Amino acid sequence: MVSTPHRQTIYLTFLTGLSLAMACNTGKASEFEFEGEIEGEWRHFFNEAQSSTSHDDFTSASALLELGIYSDDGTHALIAKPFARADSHDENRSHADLREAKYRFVEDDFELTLGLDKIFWGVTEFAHIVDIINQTDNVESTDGEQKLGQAMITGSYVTDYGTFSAFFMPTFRPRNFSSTDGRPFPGLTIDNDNETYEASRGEDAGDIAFRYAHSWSVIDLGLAYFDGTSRDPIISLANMQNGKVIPHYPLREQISIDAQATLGPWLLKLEALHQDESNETSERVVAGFEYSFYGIFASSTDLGIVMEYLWDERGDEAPHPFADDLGLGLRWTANDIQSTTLLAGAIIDLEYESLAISLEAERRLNNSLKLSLEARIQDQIDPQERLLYAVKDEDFARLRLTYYF
Amino acid sequence: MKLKLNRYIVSLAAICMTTQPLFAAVTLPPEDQAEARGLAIAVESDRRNIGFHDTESDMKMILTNQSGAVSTREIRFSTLENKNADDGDWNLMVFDEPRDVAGTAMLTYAHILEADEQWMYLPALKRVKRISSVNKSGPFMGSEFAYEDFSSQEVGKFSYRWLRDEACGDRVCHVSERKPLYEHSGYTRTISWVDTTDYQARKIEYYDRKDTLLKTLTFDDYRLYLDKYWRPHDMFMVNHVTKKTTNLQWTDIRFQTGLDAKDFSKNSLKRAR
Repeated sequence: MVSTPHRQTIYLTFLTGLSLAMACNTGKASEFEFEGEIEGEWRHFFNEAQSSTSHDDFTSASALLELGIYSDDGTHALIAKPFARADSHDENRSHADLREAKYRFVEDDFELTLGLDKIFWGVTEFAHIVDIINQTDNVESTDGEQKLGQAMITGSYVTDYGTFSAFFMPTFRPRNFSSTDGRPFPGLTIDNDNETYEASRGEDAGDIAFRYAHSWSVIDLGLAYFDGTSRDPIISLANMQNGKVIPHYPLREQISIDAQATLGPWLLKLEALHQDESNETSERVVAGFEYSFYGIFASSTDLGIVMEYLWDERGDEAPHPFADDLGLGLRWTANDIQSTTLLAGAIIDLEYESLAISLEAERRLNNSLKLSLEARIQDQIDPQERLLYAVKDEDFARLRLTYYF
Repeated sequence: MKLKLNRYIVSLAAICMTTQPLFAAVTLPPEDQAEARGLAIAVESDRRNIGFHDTESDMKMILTNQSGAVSTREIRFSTLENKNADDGDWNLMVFDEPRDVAGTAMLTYAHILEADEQWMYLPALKRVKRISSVNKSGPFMGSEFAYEDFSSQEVGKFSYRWLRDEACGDRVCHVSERKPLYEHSGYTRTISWVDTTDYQARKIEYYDRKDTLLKTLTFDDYRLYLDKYWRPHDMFMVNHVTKKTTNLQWTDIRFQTGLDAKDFSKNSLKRAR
């Protein structure tokens, strides 16, 4: 949930006023766009819930709208993407978020955005370690791919030598966690309202980031710097209050590189970072490749193989379970009218041999309807892998039907 | 597909430009020099497209399977002519339908014989992904068009051989064989029927890797823009093996709308809508 609705509201009101003033000032014809998606979801957990008040089956509905006003020459744009979900049992998963609410100004090689936005950095598939601007919307999915809207002012300048961007993030968004009735449940409830910060100004930390990105022939490169509050909280049993864990957000300084070489059917990928958090420095790397076989077995279907190594210098102390792991993935694309795809992925811990498996299937039913099936299964989880061990009996399947308009 | 400009043999093109006014009768090499004659026909088709600078257009794709079931796609295209004689055009596609891929965009920097550079924008993740351009023979959006049928048809991507001149409908066409010189093509050769007066393609036959006739593409409803540039508004592809068809209907083709290189960058790809 939006933990500080008051502050966000003031900020948004200011932005909207400013944006409207700027948009109206142009006096040019505009184009209005409205689209969105509505989704019904069913989740089934294969094992009985750890909490007596929880359930094995969850139903849920969500909606994502996209509204845009664009000036005719494309210079000015006002874009809003509100999202909301209602979940049958998890009160924290029933939530609303403005994924985007921004004003954008583009002239020649310069771009300025003000407001809530989402930024993605990176190239790898099994983890997105350099992607740091937005907080993870943790109740939405377990893969960390869904993000909360982040308030920011961004300037980008495109030159022949690459694109230079600067980000200022006036407010911080803490991660949202499922309630005691929600699943997957890690065995303890995390407090969504009383987090603590290393930054003396708390969630008004005023984070900054810079990025440089460029492409030369087969190489795509990104270099980034971040200084602000870490998006990953420290979850420690020493920080308990009223039976809930109080997440702590340390300050972090980080430099990162993300690079891809595209060599025929080979995609070679690297993400690496150096971070300084609570006066401790550490490194993280995800590196690997993707290789595609096109038109396998004389059919028009494709098979892609992804292999990535995930490493974190902190080992067992890392706030995620992927410190010395191998990710293996297979992606089958039917190239049919329904755009059927199957994705199978496994992350194998090289030290403890724990196995986290994901299976995903997707198929379009008609021009505006899509069906998705997903399963997440864990096996051979070693008790020393405490983060995975906590959710070892939380295997589940998820079925989604999405209507697009 | 749309025959786009190309300046493969600069000197030859330059000679054409200086010795022949636009759309005047073309002097082709004699029939016993089949390769030179085939190349000259391709160069002439290409020459007639030089200087278009940029276009924007909307396309509707109608896919019909063996049993007659129909599905549609809608895509917007922007193309920027490459002023560099030895390189291909830049292309941006934005998908509107099917609705689940609405907002997905693809940016291509075409090259002659080197691999094209290609990026895909996935709006749900807001991720720009550099993708492999090896998949030339794969189906485009589940249609009977392969990716290579959509990429820009630069003269230097093929070798040519003139076969004969013959009637094509109520017109007369040069019939030539074309063999891809670039890697990863799904075709051994194509045979094209090019009108002898306007030098626009009227029909192309595609032969697969086993050299059997796989598909036939016909072009219809040519219209002239800026008194200079022909564009077909209707294309029909039949797959002879699967019996599936794909019909492309182009509408609202606009020339020289003021696009330039900054509209074809990775940054602008994120703003595509």
